[in-house]
Amino acid sequence: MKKLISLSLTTLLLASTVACSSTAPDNKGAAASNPTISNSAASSSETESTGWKPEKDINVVVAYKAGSGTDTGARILCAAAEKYTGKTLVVVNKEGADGKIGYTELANAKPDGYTIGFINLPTYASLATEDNSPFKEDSITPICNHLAEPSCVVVRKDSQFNTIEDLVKYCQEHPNEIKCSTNGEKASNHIGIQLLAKMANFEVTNVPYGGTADQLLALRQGEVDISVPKVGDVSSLIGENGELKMLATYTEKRLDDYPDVPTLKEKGYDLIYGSYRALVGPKGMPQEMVDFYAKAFKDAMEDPDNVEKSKNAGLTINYMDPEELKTFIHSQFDFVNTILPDLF
Amino acid sequence: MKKSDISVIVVIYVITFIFFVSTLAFPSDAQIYPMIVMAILALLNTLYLIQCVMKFAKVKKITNDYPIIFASFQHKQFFVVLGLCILYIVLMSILGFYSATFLYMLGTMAFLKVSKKPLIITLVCFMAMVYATFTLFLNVPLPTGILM
Amino acid sequence: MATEIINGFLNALAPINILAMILSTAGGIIIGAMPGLSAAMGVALLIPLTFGMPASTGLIVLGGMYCGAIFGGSISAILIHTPGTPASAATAIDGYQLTLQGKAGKALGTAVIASGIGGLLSCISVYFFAPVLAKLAMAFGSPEYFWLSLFGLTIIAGVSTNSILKGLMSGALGLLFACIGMDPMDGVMRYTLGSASLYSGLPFTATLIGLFSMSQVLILAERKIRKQGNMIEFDDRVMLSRKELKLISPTIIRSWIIGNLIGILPGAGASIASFLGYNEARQFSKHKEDFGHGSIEGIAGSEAANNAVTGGSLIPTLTLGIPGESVTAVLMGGLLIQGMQPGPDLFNKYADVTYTFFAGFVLVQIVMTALGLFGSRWFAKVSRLSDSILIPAIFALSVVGSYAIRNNMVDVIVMLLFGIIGYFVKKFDLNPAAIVLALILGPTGESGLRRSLALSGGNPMVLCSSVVSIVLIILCIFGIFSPIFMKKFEKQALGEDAAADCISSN
Repeated sequence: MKKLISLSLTTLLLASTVACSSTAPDNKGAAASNPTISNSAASSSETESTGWKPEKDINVVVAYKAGSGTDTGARILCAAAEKYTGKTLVVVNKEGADGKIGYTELANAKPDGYTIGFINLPTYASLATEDNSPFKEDSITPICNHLAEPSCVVVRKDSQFNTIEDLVKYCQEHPNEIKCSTNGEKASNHIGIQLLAKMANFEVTNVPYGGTADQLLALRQGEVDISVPKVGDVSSLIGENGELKMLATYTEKRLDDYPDVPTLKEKGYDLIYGSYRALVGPKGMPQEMVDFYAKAFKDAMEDPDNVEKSKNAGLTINYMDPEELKTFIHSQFDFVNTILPDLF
Repeated sequence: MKKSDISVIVVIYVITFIFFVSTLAFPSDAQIYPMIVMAILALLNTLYLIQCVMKFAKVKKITNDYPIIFASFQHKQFFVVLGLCILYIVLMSILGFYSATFLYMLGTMAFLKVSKKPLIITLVCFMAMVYATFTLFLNVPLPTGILM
Repeated sequence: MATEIINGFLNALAPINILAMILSTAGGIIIGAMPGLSAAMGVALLIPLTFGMPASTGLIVLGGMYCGAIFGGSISAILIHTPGTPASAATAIDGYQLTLQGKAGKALGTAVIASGIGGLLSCISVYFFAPVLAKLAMAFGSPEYFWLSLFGLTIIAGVSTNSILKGLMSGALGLLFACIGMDPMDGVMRYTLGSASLYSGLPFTATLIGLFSMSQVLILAERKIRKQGNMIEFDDRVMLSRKELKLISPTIIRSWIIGNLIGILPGAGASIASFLGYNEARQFSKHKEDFGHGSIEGIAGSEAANNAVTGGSLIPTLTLGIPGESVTAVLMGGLLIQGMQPGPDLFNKYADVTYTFFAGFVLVQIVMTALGLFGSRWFAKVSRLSDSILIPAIFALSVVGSYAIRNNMVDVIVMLLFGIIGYFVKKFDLNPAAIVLALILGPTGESGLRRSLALSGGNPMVLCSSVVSIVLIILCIFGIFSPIFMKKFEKQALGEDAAADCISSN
């Protein structure tokens, strides 16, 4: 028995050293590690003038489950970006609580350059402004923006509404009669319809569904009359063989793919709204790591293979560099703090 | 009527009550559905109670069936195994998955008197299988604990 | 169309596709067999790997993983009473009993054959009835899902082998547990104890693992350790005898139809199908008393249904872009990435890819059956391991499995708690399968009911306003009363037999 114990202890020691070095880092380190120390440690190990480069696999935290929209978009980009980062990008799904779990994990990770992740806006902002939220606006370091998914108003092809004006007029005259499906109570597509409803002064009956797929199914089946999803979600359903028609978009200018669809802005409702997916790191991430990733992912986004795959999947790439992203995130927080509370 | 029936009935009432108290804090719209479910559960439980009481009225005896249910219950074995299971989960957060699993399997098998050769073979095969599937093939990260 | 079908098969028989089939199906079986790893996860993780492949090969790889995993779940369900995927929860009931009787090989053989035939037959619907059946997917709205859930819950009476009342209580308890999480309509947090991890409710797979496998560990731990090979040494063969095959044939056909239809309905998947298949097998069986004690009809009923879902779920996914099951939602992502939109284009512009994929899907069933039969001889040996090895192995696997889904330790703790709850549930003769059923169906039923009322402004008539709803209501009534009718029917039949015996022996 004694022999067995000593043998096991030795094996254990060996095994743990192997396991520790081979498993990808799953960090729950202290929230604020000293940035200057890690900065100098990183730069002292790099003698090249080209700046920081990762030396082992990188964890990419996705706050939604495998196969979801965010996850698919993340995997497509990471597959293309590996060429430019030089090391494997391991997508880690940390789903739950509409993203809260993953965002908390991201905010608490060590800013050593080996953990980055995707956040959705404005979702990140609305979750961060809740009471007792474990993460805030400054809990993350912006790297770059990946996708921009503007919202749009859709109805069935055989619907009585052919223009956005028809729809708005009807809604104004018949309060609560029109039914709108959303992807969840107070979720992004619910915000979308309410923005228009408040501005145009009408009320519809909003019915929450479990997600965009269910929301659109309800519209297609005729359970509801209208819906306000993202353009990317309905791209396969609009057109000649499609079941839906798009009445308006929440964009600055008309979209290239839908030149006949007016923007809400030109109809008098200055509403620019949609979801954005951005790549961020934990707070305190050194600038040279941020720059490295910003460049790597920019190259990945412009990579022709990625461009094609993204187009096929209905994703609209919208690169923003770290500074632009920082400003944008701030505007999203403003949006959440000022406009959101009066919306419902 | 069996003693075990009494236990089941009491426990179900208690669980229903606990959920009921929590539900009172919800806004009234959100209370409706959970209350309906609790009503169904309470109703079924009461029907069961009535069924048991009727049996009792016939037989006039409460049988203590605990000895039957827990016949040949190995006290020490059961609680040590359960304790090791809980310890394993605690250790996993501290030492990380591989170390904790190694210790847990070693400890449990040794306690259950598995002889040396099958113990080592199982240990090695199991760890290898988990490593190959989760870390190599699927790239699913496993906990690495605070110490790492 | 005939030329396209034939071309599809010719393409699918290309060496690279055959290799893809074998590897992905084998991988799927392994992933399915590991508790905690689900088919959807396997498919999602394979998608990036398929980027470099030609479209049809990529799809075949995903299809192989899907079917393999749905079958693979039955392996651990049978051997260690731990459903490898939720789809095999019903298989665990009778499968494990057979293992205890030393007949693990036979149980596995039944599962393989039932899965293979169920999956194969479901391909027929894909080839020939896709457009018609796709309409079914569009006909199911909120009221219909409410009645479907209720119908599913009536199965509880059938799944309860002893006291129906206790079975119903277990179901109601499950419904209460299903309330944990965010209210689907108001967004209110119910019973989440402040934990963000419980916002979407109890983690289903972790709860399932706790209720079935960890409770099993505790049950093994409470009694004297059964040493290796101490089990009844039966002549355990994997291949079924002609008589047995004949016995399970009607069950397989019935379960095929059930699974195929459930697969078509978005939001209703393999887990529901397996319970329905199991239940209907029991309803129509001439050996009802075997159910719960090792009936191969039960295994066949459950496994044929859950694999039949695979073909059925492809129909709405490919024709309408509506995922028939959670795995096909991921598969659809894979399609889109390859540039193929669901809809008529798949059958015109991309016909060669699509028909090659279908042919591949058919061949995958055959590969899966072959691999299953071949491997079962070895898998069955696991059941001969001593309890003292099985206890830590099953628990460790349960822990890994619960953690791996969401990378969340809270799930492991939930698994532990439900393991203890499951232990008491089993000891006090309540019904863990009923709890699981309620956990699956509760949320669907609740959202269906509340959405219907929200859409109609509170008018309950919305619940009986469509043909499909009425059909489902009739099925519900049938479901509740048929066990009672069946019993009366049998008594009558027995009575007549007894009378006939009396007359003939005089």
